[in-house]
Amino acid sequence: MAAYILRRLLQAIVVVWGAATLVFAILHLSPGDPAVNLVGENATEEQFELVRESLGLNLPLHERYVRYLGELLSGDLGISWFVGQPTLDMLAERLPDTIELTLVAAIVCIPLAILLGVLSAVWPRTLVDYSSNFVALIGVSTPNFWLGVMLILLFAVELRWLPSMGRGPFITVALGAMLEGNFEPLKQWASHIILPAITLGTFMMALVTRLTRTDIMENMRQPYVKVARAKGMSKGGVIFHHVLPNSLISVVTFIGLEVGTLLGGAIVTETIFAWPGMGRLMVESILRRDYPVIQGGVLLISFIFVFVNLIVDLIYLWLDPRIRLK
Amino acid sequence: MTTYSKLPLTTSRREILKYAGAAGIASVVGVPGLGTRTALAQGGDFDEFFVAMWSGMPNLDPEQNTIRTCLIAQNWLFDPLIWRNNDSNELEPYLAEEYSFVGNNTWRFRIRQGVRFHNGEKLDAHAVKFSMDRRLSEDVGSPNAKSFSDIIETKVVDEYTVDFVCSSPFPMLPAYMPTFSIMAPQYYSENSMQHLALNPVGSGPFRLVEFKPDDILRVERNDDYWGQTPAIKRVTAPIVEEDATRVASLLAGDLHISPRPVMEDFDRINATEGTMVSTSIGNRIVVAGLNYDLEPMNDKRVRQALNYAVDTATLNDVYLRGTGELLAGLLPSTVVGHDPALEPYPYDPEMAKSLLRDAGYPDGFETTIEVNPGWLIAGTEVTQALQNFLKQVGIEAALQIRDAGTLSSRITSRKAGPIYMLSWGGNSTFDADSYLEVLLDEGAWSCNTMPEVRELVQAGRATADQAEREEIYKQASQIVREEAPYLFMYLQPNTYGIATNHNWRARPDEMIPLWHVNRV
Repeated sequence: MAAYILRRLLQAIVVVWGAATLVFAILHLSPGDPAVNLVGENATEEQFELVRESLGLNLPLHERYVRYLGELLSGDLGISWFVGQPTLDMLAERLPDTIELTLVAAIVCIPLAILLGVLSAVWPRTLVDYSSNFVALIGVSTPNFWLGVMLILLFAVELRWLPSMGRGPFITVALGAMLEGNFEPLKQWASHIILPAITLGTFMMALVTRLTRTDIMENMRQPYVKVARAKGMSKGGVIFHHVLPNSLISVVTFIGLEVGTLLGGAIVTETIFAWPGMGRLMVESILRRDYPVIQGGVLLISFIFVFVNLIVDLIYLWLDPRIRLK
Repeated sequence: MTTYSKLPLTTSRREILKYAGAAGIASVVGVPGLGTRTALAQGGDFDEFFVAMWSGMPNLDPEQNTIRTCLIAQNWLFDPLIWRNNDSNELEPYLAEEYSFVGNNTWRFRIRQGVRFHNGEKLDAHAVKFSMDRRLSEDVGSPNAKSFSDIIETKVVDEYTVDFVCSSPFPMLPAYMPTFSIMAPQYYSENSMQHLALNPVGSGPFRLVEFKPDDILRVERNDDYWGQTPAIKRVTAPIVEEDATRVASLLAGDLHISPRPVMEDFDRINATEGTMVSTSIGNRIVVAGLNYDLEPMNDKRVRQALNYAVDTATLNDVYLRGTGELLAGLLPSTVVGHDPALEPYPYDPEMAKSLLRDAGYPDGFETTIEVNPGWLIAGTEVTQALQNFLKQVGIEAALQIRDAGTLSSRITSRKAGPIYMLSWGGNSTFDADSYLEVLLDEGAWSCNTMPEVRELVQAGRATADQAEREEIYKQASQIVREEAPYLFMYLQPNTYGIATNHNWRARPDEMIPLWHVNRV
């Protein structure tokens, strides 16, 4: 077990290093000059040169790379060229907002997706199945930049039930106030997060619904189901105790991969809803060519991706004893 | 970027409700009055006023950015020496009580007495000197330094009088002043750049409450303000990059000012009760640059042919709803030095073909147009229309979409084009020098060669006599129109969606001052 975890950690280091190198190469080899954005278009060539020198952009590529890796190893992600703050601080401030949005999206959508998947597998080719298929189809085929705007038009502009953008208090603040009997912050929190969470989670919900349905139907045909039924176990009991755990292996794998994708998908959702997460930070930084923030952000996202998948692998061990034996 | 043009804008409330099966989800958490709308319903002063920013505000140190959204916000927190009148757009004293050119390349400013910064420091001539020295300091490395590089020294004459001694008459100095913020000397001396980026201290009508870079800014009324006390108690300025969201938020009542709506949304905004579109002719010209270093743009006849080939009036009607102003050169009517006698090139494809024949291109030629869509309203659509107009006279232009950094870099290294789309706001100076010096000859934003105009630009800088300068720039404008270093298009308007319960209206200088805004 320990050897397995160690091996996976070593693999994770290689993956993160690969991501760091790739983003460095893309940024530094692509055309365009961050100095132009930094000092304004009408600056003199001498001013551009001064800025390039101060940022180390005039060094040969390999020297820049070695310097970058050195700073990375010492835990220094650099200072944002435009905001003037340490990249690590900026990412640390924005990351909780993205995680909060991603988790709420997952919490809202995954249980619903599994429920829909189970229902449509248990009653295939019925109204329940067709309805859940329809929901899944709509979810898969609706891009979130369109869905987000439509939700704003409906709930903020037409019905005026929810705010059109921005965020309320952080969840911990809202919960703290709730414990003191003040529910207003919680309402504010919920009203601001619900639309972006639905926008972000709809696509994932649709896929998880389809995957759960297929896996359960496949497992329902396995001999162990017949044995369990022959031994007198109820259909619900078989599904809950045997079929669902077996089916969840692939669903958990998929969710593990998709949580990383959700972080990426949050870029669009956060931009539409002016949600102050990592996604918007990355968009702004990319537009300005704020290399330290882009590099730090990509590194962090790849780290999260690797970490989540490591957790998923560990959940495998727990879900399926055969993997442990191997 | 999503725009409303792709959405079913004509959908009625009833039709939308038909698809609103998910409405129950919101009803669980949604109650009327949630969010920011509640502030709009209150009478008297505005308890809270909401202004969206269309792009990020990374920091609020006046010497660490040149970004328009930051300039707008800094103007709430800091005072300038000179300001532009709300109605006439003319320069007028603000923090300075008076100013004048006193000879010997020196400008003298008398500073208003009794003004204090938000932290209690006194605002006097020393503060002005400190602020200018900070702007020009190599240690600070301000991106605004270049515009003021003609200033050799700032001298304190007495407690409330300051002289700017320049290397030339520097006639553009007053025009640059509205974006020069006066900073609290002690505070800005004692704190790090990192701290100052997030914690601005000025003497403006509002003081900082909260600033999260690229996310949100909150300011509150400065009750000790020396000037007119604002009717707005608090201002919240969220960054909302998405065009569709900004408009939706305005229509939902979540915003008082929503800058830069796309033209397709104008009718919808005007048709909605409580909102309207406010536009103003501004300072941002839209032109297509023609690179003299790349054939065939080194031939004047080809450049003129391009100007005859494109129906800029139609582009203005279609993409700006007729709110733009056609250009006869690089100086729009809002700029000192504009020559009203010059006429824009007429749309004449036959003349264009004739000029191309004379230049040795009877069958036209192949070329490339580069564009960063964000630099102009409907950037991609306008460029595609341009492409089609050129095709009609035989010019096959391939479209290349570039990001801002890449195209900027290609222009400054004179590799852009041969045709490249450009917009330029003249650093908000409304002064001919800021257009001609930057866009022509060896200017940072130019890919052409016009030594005769360069000489005139130098002559315009050598005198503080405005009438003389205007004559010089008119002469330059005639040469520019004839030589056609650009395909002259139009002056782009500044556009805003606004709530109708206040009296703020669009200004030519793209600023959003709020201290004089009242409820109506």
